[in-house]
Amino acid sequence: MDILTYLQGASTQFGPSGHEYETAQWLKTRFEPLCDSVVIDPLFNVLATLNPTVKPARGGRAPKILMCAHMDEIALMVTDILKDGSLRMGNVGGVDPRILPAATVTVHCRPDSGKPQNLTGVIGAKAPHLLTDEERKQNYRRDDLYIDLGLPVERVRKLVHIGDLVTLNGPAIGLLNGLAAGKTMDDRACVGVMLEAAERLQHLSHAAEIVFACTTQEEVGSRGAKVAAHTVNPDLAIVMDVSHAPIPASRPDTTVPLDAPAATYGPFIQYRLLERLQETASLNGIKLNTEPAERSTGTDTDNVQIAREGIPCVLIDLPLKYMHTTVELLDTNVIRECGRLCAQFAAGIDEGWDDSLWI
Amino acid sequence: MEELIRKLTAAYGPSGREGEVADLIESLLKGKVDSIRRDALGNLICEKKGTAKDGRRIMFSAHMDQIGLIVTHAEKEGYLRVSNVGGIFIANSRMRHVRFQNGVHGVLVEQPLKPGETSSMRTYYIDIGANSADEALRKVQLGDVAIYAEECFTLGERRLAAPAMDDRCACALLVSLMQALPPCKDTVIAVFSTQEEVGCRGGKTAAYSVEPDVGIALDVTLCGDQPEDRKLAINLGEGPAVKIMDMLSISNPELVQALLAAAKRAKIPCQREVLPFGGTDAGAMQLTRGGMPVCTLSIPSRNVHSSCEIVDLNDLENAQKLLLAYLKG
Amino acid sequence: MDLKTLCEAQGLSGREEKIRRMALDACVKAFGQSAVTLDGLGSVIARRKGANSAKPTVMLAAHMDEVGLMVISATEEGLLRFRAIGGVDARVLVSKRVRVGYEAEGKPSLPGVIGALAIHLQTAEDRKTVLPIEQLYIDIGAKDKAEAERLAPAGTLVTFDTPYTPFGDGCVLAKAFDDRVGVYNLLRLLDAPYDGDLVFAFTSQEEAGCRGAVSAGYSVQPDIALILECTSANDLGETPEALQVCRVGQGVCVSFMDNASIGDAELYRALLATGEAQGIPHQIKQFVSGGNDAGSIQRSGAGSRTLALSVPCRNIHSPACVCSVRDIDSQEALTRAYLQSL
Repeated sequence: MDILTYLQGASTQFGPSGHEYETAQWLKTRFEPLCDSVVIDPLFNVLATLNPTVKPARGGRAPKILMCAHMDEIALMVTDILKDGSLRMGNVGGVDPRILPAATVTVHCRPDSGKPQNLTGVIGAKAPHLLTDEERKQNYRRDDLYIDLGLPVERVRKLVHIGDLVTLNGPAIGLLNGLAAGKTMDDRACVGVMLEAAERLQHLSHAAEIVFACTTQEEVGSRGAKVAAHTVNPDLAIVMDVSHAPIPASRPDTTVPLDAPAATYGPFIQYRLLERLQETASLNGIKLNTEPAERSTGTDTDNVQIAREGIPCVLIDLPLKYMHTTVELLDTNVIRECGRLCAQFAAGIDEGWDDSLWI
Repeated sequence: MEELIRKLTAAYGPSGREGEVADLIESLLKGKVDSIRRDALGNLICEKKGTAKDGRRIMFSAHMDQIGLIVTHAEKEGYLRVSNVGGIFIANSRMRHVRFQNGVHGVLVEQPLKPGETSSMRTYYIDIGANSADEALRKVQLGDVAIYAEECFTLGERRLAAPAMDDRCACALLVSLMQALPPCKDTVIAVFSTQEEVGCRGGKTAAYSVEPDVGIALDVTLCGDQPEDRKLAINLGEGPAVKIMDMLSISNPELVQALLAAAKRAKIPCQREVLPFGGTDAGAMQLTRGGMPVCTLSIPSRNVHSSCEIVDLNDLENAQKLLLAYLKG
Repeated sequence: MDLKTLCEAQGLSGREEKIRRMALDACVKAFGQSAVTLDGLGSVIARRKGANSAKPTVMLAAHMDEVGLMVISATEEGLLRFRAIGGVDARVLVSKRVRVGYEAEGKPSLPGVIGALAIHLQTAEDRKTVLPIEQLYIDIGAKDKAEAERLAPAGTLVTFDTPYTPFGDGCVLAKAFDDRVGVYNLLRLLDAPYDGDLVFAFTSQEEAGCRGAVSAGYSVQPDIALILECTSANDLGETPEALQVCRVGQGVCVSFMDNASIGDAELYRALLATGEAQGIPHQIKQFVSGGNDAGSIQRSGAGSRTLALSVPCRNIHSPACVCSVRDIDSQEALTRAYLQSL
């Protein structure tokens, strides 16, 4: 798979949390050639199943692996239409207000009388010459910002409703040294890792049934993963999400290097499963850093781990810089390495994988 | 509708102690539905079977519980220390008339603050007129819960004010809907849930055992039409609101469109709502088992979580028309 | 299994293997292999079938994990940076001794200390500042980063170093009373007389967010669940009565509500009535604070009626917890008496 091409496509798919239906369809068509069946569930999760290619070692039940990465993007939502035709907005997921002033956005409307329409908007704020010295030293709060559609209020009221979605613009671009930057690398880059893994698994024998889940609503609380884990009911799970790579403002012990995948350790991660992941990396010459999560991981792992009777999890992290901006920056080689790691790990799971998991 | 609201807002039912409300609703729906049961958390689950073999299971959830104050300690002088059950706003609590289930009345008082001290549950107490801890504990037990004691009254032509409009007005709506429901192809399950105010707890277990295909929560929402108070773009009296999003759930887009279309068919005014905080039972239903499409139909209310929550009967009657149109299909 | 062994054993959230082994062995011995399972979060669930299926299924739960610390990196000078597992107030860590790494055959745990700037060298400003965990270090005496990383790599678990010490009048000083007292009492209750189904759940990862109880609750979905826990007692130093929560030595604490759950009203009344009728020392938790496995079990699956019975503990979640033997015994006695009354 050409990773940059994939990222360019993924970074332009419409899929804010709770409204991932278009992205779900786009990804469904990409998983279909690689899997035995692909379904979309009531929360728009894409569940793509790859059947085992060999029988389990002891002649019993094939282990079932869930791999997840989330496909929803953070976005904004229209909360009010002001008398002058400008719009107030609310957050769908954690949008940093600092990225908004002078941002170009798309307002997705469904006028009562016609077809869905996309309007271009610009996010504006109180002009600098009207601010006091004190105000100019502070960041804009979201309440100070508005969306300018360049239309009179009567036209706006006919086209736009409270609740309409507003997406940011940020198509992926290639930078030097195999790096790339764009919107929603969090976490569609990891969905790309799953596609890479699925491609490699076409040529590996595996005793496990593998379900790739492109989950939804992670940005508002890992909601899609909660129900996906219940539906799939796997024996173990590999969750993938992005992590922070160092920039000058970073504090110590909060980042991992940009140039290699990392694995999380901490109470929510099954320690023996993590050891197995590290062994797999070592055997395959894949550099794997580690990073701590002493409390919740802040990823789909949190909800997957406690589904049903409990699911042992590992969490693989894809480092990137500038998270939750429209210029999230990562190393495309790491996507390839992650895909290789996941495929080899999955291929190594056979009956008996959990023999000494807890004691 | 008005009669139902008056009856229901008068019932005692803080989170965890909803029995009296459940008994009342059960008596109102006996004989009008096919089955009534309660679960481990006290949820009241009333099911009316649909006529079609492949009909859907549609769950409506309105919560029975109201916010309250739980007695944690009796001071030597007879004053009762309390903690909040659900979202008690300190600003709405000064010098309030409160009552307990057993008929004991009290006044919720804030003591003078020390320099630098801020208001919190620790600076409040309930005075029930006792002069010692022993005397107080003969009238009221540790763990008993007090509620605001105001009675329902009329405002203007069609508005009512009372404590616990959140969410008894929606319970009234749901009771009225079930009483008026003609035979329907889908199975309709009316859940009167518990402990919503402390985290949508009852809704979670109810949805698990009901296993619906669709979940619609009925709850109040705030208004943005009072002086200097535009929290959100909702106005009292301009119709029920279809909720697009709050902090616990993002409504399923198709279900949102279906409810908006039902409003059109019923020819009633309808608003759209985006709430930047809070949540309803929809959040609990959506993430049960393998998940389901959900939405909340909101009843606009002024002064939510106070002793004088205001609703407009037009909004409630229009909400019922919308829901009947939705179920008709 | 005695309480001293349980308290001194090392078992942080997610790494409860030593406690798990003890609980597993005791349950298999009592009920046989087929009655005992480990779930997907490492909780131990032992099901004792009763003769009378008309009686409610009762679950007794206690969590195996304690709070502690986890090494995340080493400084150039060989000091260990760490984070807290579970809720540990940074203010109880300064000037304490710890055990770095789990004790194992041929690989004992390393002694370590958490120091801080000497008082002589502190400025007036320093003396007012609370040192956050990010500015505390464990010193094992390593000479440099390489040695520190070799002996205590990232992920190494660290427990408080507190010998179990009876003192005063029936009091005990130890670490991890929360919740080894619960585990201890659960093990003593394996033979509790009750002719309905009785399920013992030794849950994992309570301190990290009541996690193990979610899956244990889901697997069992009992009719009734009693959670045997520990709760903080604030009863010394002239604390106003309204803020004391409960008192050490006054018996097991029955809780009507905490931040994670409202206790089932009927269960609450029933446990108090049993305490009265049987003359078992008990008290009511007079504050709403904390949270425990009851919250998770109450809402798992179709839900259960739950109640927490807690042993009062001074300085909970610190290296120097203090409990009264009287309270520990009354937690066991009240649970036993309630089961008998059912």
